[in-house]
Amino acid sequence: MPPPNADLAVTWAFLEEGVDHIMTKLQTGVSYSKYMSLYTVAYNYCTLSKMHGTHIESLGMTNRTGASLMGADLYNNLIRYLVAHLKQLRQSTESREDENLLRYYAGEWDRYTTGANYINRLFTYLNRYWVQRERDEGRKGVYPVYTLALVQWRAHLFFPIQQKNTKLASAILRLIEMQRNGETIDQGLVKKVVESFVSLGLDDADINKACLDVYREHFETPFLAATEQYYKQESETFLANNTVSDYLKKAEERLKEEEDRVERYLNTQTRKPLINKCEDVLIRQHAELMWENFQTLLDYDRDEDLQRMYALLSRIPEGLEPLRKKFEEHVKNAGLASISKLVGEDAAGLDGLDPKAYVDALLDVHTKNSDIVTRSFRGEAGFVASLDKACREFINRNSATGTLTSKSPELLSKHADLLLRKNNKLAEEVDLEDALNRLMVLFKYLEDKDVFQTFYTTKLSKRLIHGVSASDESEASMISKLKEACGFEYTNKLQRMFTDMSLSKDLTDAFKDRMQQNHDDMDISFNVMVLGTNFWPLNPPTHDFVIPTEILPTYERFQKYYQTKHSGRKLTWLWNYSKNELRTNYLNQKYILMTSSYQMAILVQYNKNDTLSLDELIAATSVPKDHLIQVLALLVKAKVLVNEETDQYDLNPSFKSKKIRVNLNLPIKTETKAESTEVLKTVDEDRKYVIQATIVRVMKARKTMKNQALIQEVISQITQRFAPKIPDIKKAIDTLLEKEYIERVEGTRDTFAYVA
Amino acid sequence: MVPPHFLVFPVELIERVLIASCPQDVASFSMTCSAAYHLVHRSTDQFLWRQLFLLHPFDDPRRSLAHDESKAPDSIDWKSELLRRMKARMIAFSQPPLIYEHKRALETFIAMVGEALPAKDSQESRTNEPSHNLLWLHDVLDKSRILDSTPLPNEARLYARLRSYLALTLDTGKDEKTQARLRKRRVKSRSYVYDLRKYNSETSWGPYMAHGRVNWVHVEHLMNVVLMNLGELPGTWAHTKPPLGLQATRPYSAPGIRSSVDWAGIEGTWRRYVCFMDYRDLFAFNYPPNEAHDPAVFEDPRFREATKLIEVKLRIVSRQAMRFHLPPSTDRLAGPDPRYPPLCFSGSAKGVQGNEAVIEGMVRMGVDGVARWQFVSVYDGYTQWSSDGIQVGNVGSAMGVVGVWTTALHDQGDPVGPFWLWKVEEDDPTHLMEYT
Amino acid sequence: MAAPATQQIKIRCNDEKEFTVDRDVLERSVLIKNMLEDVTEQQDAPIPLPNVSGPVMAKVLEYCTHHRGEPLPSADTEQSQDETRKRTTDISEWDQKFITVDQEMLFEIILAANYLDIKSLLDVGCKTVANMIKGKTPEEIRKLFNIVNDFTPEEEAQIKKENEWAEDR
Repeated sequence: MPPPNADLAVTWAFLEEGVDHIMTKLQTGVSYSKYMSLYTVAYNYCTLSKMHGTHIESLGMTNRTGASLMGADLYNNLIRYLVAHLKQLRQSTESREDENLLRYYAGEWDRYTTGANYINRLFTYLNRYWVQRERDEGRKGVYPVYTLALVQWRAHLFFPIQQKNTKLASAILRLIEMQRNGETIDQGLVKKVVESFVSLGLDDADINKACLDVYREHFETPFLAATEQYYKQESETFLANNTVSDYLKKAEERLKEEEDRVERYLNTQTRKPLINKCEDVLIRQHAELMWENFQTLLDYDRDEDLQRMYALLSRIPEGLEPLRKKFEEHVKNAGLASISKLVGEDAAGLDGLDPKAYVDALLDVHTKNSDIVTRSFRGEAGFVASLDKACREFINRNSATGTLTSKSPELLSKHADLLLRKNNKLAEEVDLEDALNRLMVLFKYLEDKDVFQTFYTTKLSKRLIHGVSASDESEASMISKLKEACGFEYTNKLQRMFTDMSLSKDLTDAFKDRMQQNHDDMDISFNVMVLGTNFWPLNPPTHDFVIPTEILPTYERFQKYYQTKHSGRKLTWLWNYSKNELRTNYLNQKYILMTSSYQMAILVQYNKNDTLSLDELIAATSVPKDHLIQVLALLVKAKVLVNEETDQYDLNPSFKSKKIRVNLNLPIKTETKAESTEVLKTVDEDRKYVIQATIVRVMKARKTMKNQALIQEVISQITQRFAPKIPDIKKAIDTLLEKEYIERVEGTRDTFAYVA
Repeated sequence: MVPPHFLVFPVELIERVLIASCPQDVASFSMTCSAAYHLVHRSTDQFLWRQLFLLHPFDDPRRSLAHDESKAPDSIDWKSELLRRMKARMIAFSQPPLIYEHKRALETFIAMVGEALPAKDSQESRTNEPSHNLLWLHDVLDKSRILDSTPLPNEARLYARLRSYLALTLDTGKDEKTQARLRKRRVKSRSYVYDLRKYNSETSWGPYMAHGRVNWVHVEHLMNVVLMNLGELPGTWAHTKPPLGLQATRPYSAPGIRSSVDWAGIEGTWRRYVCFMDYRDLFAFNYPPNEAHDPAVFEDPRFREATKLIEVKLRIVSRQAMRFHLPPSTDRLAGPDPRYPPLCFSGSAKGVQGNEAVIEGMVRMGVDGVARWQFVSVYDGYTQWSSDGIQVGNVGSAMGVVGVWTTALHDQGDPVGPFWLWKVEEDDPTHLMEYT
Repeated sequence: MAAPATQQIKIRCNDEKEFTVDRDVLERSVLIKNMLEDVTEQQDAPIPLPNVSGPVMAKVLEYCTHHRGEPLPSADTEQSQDETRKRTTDISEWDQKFITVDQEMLFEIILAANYLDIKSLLDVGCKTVANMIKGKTPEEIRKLFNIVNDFTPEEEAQIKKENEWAEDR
C-alpha cells in the first residue's frame, strides 16, 4: 500500500489494480485488507488538499483551494480506466450478432454493474466531498462513481454498438418477432437487456430519478414501429383467408399476449403506448369490416362472437357507436316484424286483435334483445339506450297501431283488465304478479301514458261496479306498480275508488239495519254503491228514466236515509250501470233473470200486460227510442220477448233456458266502441288542460320566456305522461294569451311574460 | 508521528469547522495567515459563504418572493449579502452611534423583511417554520434600540417604515420612561392623522406622497393612533387585535390558502377597525378661530376618540362586475411584475348595529413594491365612504392593511380617520363592537 | 451461529493494537458497515485500519459504544449540504465530557471520524474546535494553533480593513 503522501502516479497505479480486479475478477473475492487499502489510498490522496499543500504551490495555483484539484485527478483517471475497459468489451462485440451479442452484453452488464457498485463504495470519500461539491456549484458532467460508470458504458459501449445499425435493439426485436411467431425465446435475457436500457437513462436534474430517455429512443420507439408493422401484416393476411369471427378470436389473443409481454420483460411505461398501437392496428383499421359483420352475428344469435366484438370495439373511441345504431335498427325491425306477423295472421283484423298476443309479442322482442344487451354488451348504457329507443318506436308505432299512438296503450290496458278479472283463463295459466310486472316493462315505453291511465281507470271502475275483480291483492299490487311508475297523484284517484267501495258496503249494511228496525216490509234485497263523482269515470244517464213502482219505495227510502247522513249531498242515480235480478212467475220453471235497469223497466211492464207497443214502452220508461230498440233487441234475441209485428213486443210464454240464472245483461256492441272513443276524448280534453297548466306554472316561475325556450320546457316537463305535439302547445299558448294569463312583451315578437 | 496541525487538516475539514462557527470568528481566523485568508476570502466557489449564510441562520433568499427564478442559481452573492448584514448589525450596536451609517443599515434591514421566507408554500396552507431573518432582525432592533434615536431628515422614512413593521412591539415596557414616550408619540400621531391638510388629490386622500409612493411616516402615525386606542379596549375586546410585529409581515402569513390568482389573499373574512373623533373637535383642531393644529386638543383629558370594529367579507370579481367603484383601466395600473396583476373585489361590511354596506374595491401592486388597497363603502345604493391603504409588510401579510378612510365626495372639511383591515379565519369568533 | 447483532469483529489499528468489538457498535462507522456488507466471504483476519492508531480508536469506540442503537444519518443528508439547514445542535453533556481532551487527541479524533465516516462524531469534533476559536482575536487563534503570521504589514492593514465589520460584537 502506498504511503499517505504518495503522488498521483503511484497512487493511481495501486488503485487501478484494485479497480481492475473488482471489475473483472470480483468472483475471486476481496479481503478486508484489500478493501481497506483501496479505500484508504483513495482517501489519503483526496485529503492531500491542504491549505499549505506543496502541490498547490508547485503548480503555481495559489488562488485555488486544493479540494477541487485532488478529486479531479482521481476522477479523470477513473474515467480513463473505464473507457479503456469498455473499449475491450466493444471490440468483443464487433463480431457478435443477435442472441450471441445479447448474451455477451447481458453477461458483461451484470459483471460491470456489480463491480461499479463495489468501487462506488470504495470511492465513497470522493463522492461525499469532491463530487458533491462540484455538483452543488453547478458543474456539469460530474457524477457519483456508480453513475459515472453508467455514463461511460452508455457513451463507450452502448452508443457505439447501436450505431452499427442499432445492432443491440434489433437483436431484441428479432427475438420478440420470433416469439410472436410462436417460437420459444429466452425471456430472462431480453428482460435483462431491456432493463439495462432503462438504467442508462439519466435525468441531470435529479440523478436518482428513473429516466426513460434511452429506453424510449433506442428500444420503445423501434419496438412500437415493428409491432405496428407486424400486426398490420398479420391482420391483413389473416382476414383475407379467414372469417371475421375467427379474426376476432385472433385479435383477442394477440392483445392478451402483448399485455403479458409487458409484464414479462418490458417496462411498465410501455404498456399504454403498446396497447394503443395494437388496438389501432388490430381493431381500428378493421373496424368497418366488423361493423358490417355485426348484423350477421345478431341475425344468427352468435353470442360468443358478439361478446368478443363488443369487447374489442369498446377499446377504440367511437368503435361502438355504429354497433349501437345497427342494434337499434335491428330491434326496431324485429319488433315491427313481430307485430306485422301477428296482425297478418289474425283474421279478425285490428279490432279483434288479442291483447295478450299483442303484449306477448312485444315482450318477446324486448326480452330477447334485453338479454343480448346484458349478455353480449355488458349492459352498456349506450346499448340500453338503443334498446329503449327501438322499443319506444315499435311499441308505439307498428302495424297494429297504425298512426294512432293511442292504440298500444289501449291494448295494454285491455290486457291488464283481462288479467285482473275473475275467472279469466289467463290468471290460471300464468303467475299473475309476473304478468303484471312484464306489463309494466312495456308501460314505461308508452308515449301516451295518459291514454293507458284513463283506460285503466275506466276498466277498473267497471270491474269494481260489476264485482269482477280477481282478487283484492292483485288489484292492490297493480296500483302500487302504477304508483311507482306514475306517481302518487294518479294512483290517488284509483285508491279513492277502492275506498268508495268499502264505504258503500258499510253504508248498505247500515241502511239495511235501519230498515229492519223501521220497516219490515222490504222483500226486495238491495245493494247500493255510492261513488264520488270526481273519482269515477262514469257518466250519468243521458235521458230520463221512469222508476218502476216495484222499486220506488226502496228508492225513496234510501234517498231519505242518505240525506239524514249527508245532508247537502246530491245523489245521481246511474241507471245505466245498475243491474237487477227478476224472478219469473209466469213460467213453469222459476227462472232468475239478471238484467240491466232498463231491461227491468221494460219487463215489469209485462206484469200488467202481455203485449205492448213500442210507443207504450217509450211512454212507460222514458227511454229514448233508439236506445230502447237496442235493449229490446237483446231481449228478443234471448227469446224472453217476441217481436212478430213491427213495434210490438209480446212476452214469450214458452221461454226456456238451460240455466236457471239467465244473464240478459250483455254489453251492447256500440257501447264498447263508444267506450274507446269516450276515453280518447277525455284524454284529449285532459291534455289541453295539462298543457295549459304547465305553461302557466313555468311562466309563473320564470316570469318571462322566449317562445322556443317555453316550448322546450313544456315538452320536457310533460314527456313523462305523454308526448305533446308542438301545434297543441302553440294552441294552448294562444288560448292563455286570450284569457290574459300571459302576455307578449312589448317590442318583441316571441317573448312572453307572466301576468300576475 | 507528527502531531496534526490544524492547518494541515484536509481543506474540507477546516471548512467544516468554519461552517460551525459564526461569521465573526471566521473573519478572525482569516486574519491569522495568508493561507487562511485565501481559504476564506479567495475561494473559487461560494460554498463556504453560502453555508455560513444559511446556517447563520437566515432565510434562504432563493425561496423568497423577491427571488427572480429566471436568473442563474449562482447569481446570489452570498458573501456580500452576509457581510452586509453583519455590518448593519455592527452599525446598529455601535456606541457612539455611527449616525451617518444608519441609512445603509436600515436599508439592509428593510430588504431583509422583503426576503423573509413566505409563511406558506404555494397551494398549501401549512405554515413553514418561523422566519430566521425576522427573528434575527427583531433581536437586533430590540437590543440595539437604534430606532429610539432621532433620525436624520433623509432617514425619517426608513425609520418610520421599520417602526411600522414593528407596530410598537418593541415598546411594551411598563416603565414610566416608555409610557411617557408613548404618550408623547400618541399626541404627535393624532396631530398628524387628523390634520386635514394632509389629505388632498395629490396624496390621493391616503398615506402617500406625490407619484403614489408610500409615505411611511404617515403609515406609522396611522398605526400608532389605532394601536394606542386598542390598548384602551376593555376586557374581551383587548384580544381582538391584528397580529403585530415582524413575523406578521411575512408573505402569506394571513389565514387562507396561498393562491397564484388571488395573490393578495383577498378572498375570505376580515376585521376592520376604524377610529374617528368628534367632528366638532376635528373642526376645532383644523380651522380658525382656534389656533390651527394645536396639539393641545389631544392633550385635553376630555378628548374622546371612538373605535369601531367591523366584519368584512370579500371575494374577487371581474372589473365588469363593479357597480359603484370604477377603477381606472387596468393597463394604467399594471405594475411591472406579472405575478401581481390588479384585482377587483366586492363584498359586504357589517357593524355592530347590523347596518350592512356593500364594499367594492381594488388591490394593485404599487410602484415601490407595496400592495395598495382602495375601496368604497356603499349603503342603500349610495357610496358614502372611500378608503385607501397599504399592505404592511409583504403580500398576504398577517398584519394586514393600514390606511385612511374619508368621505367618497372628498369635500373640503369632510372627516377622515385611520383604519386597519386584517384577515381572520373563517370561523373567527370575534364579536362586533363599538367603543368610545 | 451468532446472530449479526451480537457478532464480534476484530479490528487492528496501524500500531498493531487490536480490539474485538460488537458488530452493531462498529457499524456506527459507515465505512465498516458498508465493507461488512460488500465483503461477503468469511474472513479470519481482523479488519485493518491503516489510518487510525490504538489510543485514538479506543476513544472512538468509547463514543460508538455510548451511542449504539441510535439511528444513523440517512445517505441523503450528506448529499446536499445546502439543504441541511439544521445547525448542529449544542453538544450534549456526555459528549462534552467525552471530547474534553488535549488538542492533539481532538484533532486525531476528528480525522479518525472523517476517515471512518462517523458523522455525528465528526460534527462534535468540529463544533468543539469552532468553540475554541469563538471570540478570539486573530493573534489568540494563532497562538492556539501554532500558526505563523506571514502577512506583510501592508497586507495586514488591508485585511484588517476588509474585516472591520466583524469587530464589534
